[in-house]
Amino acid sequence: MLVKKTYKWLYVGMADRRRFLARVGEALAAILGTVIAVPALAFLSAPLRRRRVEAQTEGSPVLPLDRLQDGKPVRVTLRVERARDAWNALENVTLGSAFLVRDGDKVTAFSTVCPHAGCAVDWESEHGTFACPCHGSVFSRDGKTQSGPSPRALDSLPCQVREGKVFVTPERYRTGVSDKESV
Amino acid sequence: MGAQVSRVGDWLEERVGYRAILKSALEEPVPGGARWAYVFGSVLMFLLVLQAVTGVLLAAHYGSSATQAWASVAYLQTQVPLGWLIRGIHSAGASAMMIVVDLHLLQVTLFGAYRKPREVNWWVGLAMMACLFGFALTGYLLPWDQKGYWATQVATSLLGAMPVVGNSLKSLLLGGSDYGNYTITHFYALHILVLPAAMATLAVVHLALFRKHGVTSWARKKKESGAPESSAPFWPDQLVRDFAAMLLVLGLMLAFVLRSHGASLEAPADPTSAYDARPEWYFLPLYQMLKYFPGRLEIVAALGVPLLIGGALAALPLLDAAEHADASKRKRFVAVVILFLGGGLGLGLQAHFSDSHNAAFQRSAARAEREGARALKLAEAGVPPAGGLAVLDNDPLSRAQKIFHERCIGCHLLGGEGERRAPDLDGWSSRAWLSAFLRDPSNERFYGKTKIHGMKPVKPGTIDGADFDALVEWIFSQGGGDGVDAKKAARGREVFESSGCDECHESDGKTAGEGIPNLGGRASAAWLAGFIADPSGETYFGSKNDMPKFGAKCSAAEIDALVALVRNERNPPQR
Repeated sequence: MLVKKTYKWLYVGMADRRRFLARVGEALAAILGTVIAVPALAFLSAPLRRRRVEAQTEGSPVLPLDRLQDGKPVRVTLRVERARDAWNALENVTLGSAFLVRDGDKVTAFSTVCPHAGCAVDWESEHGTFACPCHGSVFSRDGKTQSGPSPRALDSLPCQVREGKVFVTPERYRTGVSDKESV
Repeated sequence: MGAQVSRVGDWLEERVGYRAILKSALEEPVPGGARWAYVFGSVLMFLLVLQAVTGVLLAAHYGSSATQAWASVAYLQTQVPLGWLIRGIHSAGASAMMIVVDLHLLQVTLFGAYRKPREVNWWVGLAMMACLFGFALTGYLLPWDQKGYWATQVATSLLGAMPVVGNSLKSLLLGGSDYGNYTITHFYALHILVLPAAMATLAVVHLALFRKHGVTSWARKKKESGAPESSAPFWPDQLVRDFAAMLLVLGLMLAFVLRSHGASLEAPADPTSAYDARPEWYFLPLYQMLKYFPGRLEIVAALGVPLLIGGALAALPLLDAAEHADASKRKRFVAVVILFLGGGLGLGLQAHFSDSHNAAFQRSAARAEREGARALKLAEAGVPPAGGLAVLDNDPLSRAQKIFHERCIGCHLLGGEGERRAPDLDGWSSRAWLSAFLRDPSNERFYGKTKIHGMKPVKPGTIDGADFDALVEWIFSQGGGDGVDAKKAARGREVFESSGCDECHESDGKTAGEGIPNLGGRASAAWLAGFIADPSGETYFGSKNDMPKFGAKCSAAEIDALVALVRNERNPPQR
């Protein structure tokens, strides 16, 4: 009885009652949406906090130094011993490639990833330049941009010569921007 | 802000006319007023959307091949933030739909909503229910774990046993004669493309026909009041009730998922294993029913009974030509549905209780759970490209448990499995085990059930207290390893000699003992490997031996695995 009385007191007319019900309905719908959307978004955003390859500080040996001649870039494959790709634990994984350029005792490694849009650049021996086949960016032998849309020079990779062997650390950089940023 | 929103609304209204659509959808009158009894259909639609949302999220994390499926689900379950929750909701959502669809069916039957002119919509609803079972059947296999794999094996075997077309149908479904990559891609395509397309189409038709005919109000009330029927608008009167029911169901599902930490994932599917398969709970009635149809009758029942039930339900609106929708005037038709639901419930409960009283099944379920937990733990370090099974094959302990299961449980007890015909291996050669053994070597826990007898028990009153503990420590120390109290063991050695143990037992590890084991190095890895290979060796039980020689039956690697497993018991795990 009391409930009925309170009820009447709260909602004078049918219109008021409907308005109240509508507010309740909106609130319920909002709760439903939130309860589903929040975990879904948290789940979806997981890749923002994940890296494909765990940071590898030491480079991998790619080539004996005496196989490199001054002024003749050589394309090498970059591998890591172990990598995690989501659920898989992989061994001896190929991550990309690089050009090694020797200048006396100094060796520079250039990533083959074009800084413009991520295509693979190639060495054109007849012109003595690196060129990207996709959008025509051209780079000199020391990596500087000569022409084309690339916003920066070719990316050099961490590279060392130890005991007659060249070590290169695979790295990836953000494409399409003028600054070299690790990703 | 509000004005801007409304301007955008006006712009859209002119071009689309959405307000009229929304108005007609929301203001649809509900004859007889809003009712809690009408919420089931809305809740099902909500669950369908929820399954679609969580399904898309899961699909984005799934590797649909025999080598990747389990690994990707294990990764999702343990490594991806909230992966277990999304998967848990998807699994609980399937269960919730199975329950709510029955309530919906019951409500529609009681209210007589299947009757003229709503026959077609009743059939569409039944087709949706069939789709639901299709979703459940195809989805259960996708994680490619033991329970999904073996339960689906049973289902497809039944299909294959169908006369004439069975084998071809089975091959079409599996993508070949046996389970493999194509089985997963086929089930996956059915689960995420074919069935959703069918279900969505049917849902649209179901809703459209429902809107065409409206709700069927409770017949008796109308008759009694005699007054013209009142009605209430769908929004907010009915929809508030619908929302509240959706929130209640979602809340119950979340509580269940949080409590169980999501759906279980057992060890990766292993075609070589022995597995006591059970279907998911909503198929238990069918599973239980098949127990009553032996031999060739089984296949008739497996396909015939569901068809018969489906046929009976489909025929309901054609048979029910009663004048009045009043449920009390349609008792036999209501009875068909109640018989179907009640029978299902009864058979399901029967299956459940027969399993919960089946000790062998409980043991094998516990074992499956242990193996699953172990596999998930191992998978945290990454799964080799060879697939989920590789994590267990590469793990010595898991391999050993498998060998133990094949070779040893006929006589030895370990981890709650096996027979007691030879010494218990739970806690084997731990200090506690040795203490109990020395006091009563002929107990059935030790050599009581073997041919080996005659050792004099170390009776209380002969060696006690610190001396007894020291003796145990010395014997324990022969097995090596960390945590041996050297001083105590040295004292134990003195007790061993002064108490006359050395009159029978050699302890240099070399001298033959005429059937009485030489205790030197006892329970060390080398000692145990030699023992398992040939327990009748002269430093072991010699001519008194009662155990098979496993040197001829197992490879050296297998024996090493067993040694590691059994020696693990010296420092017993918490059970």
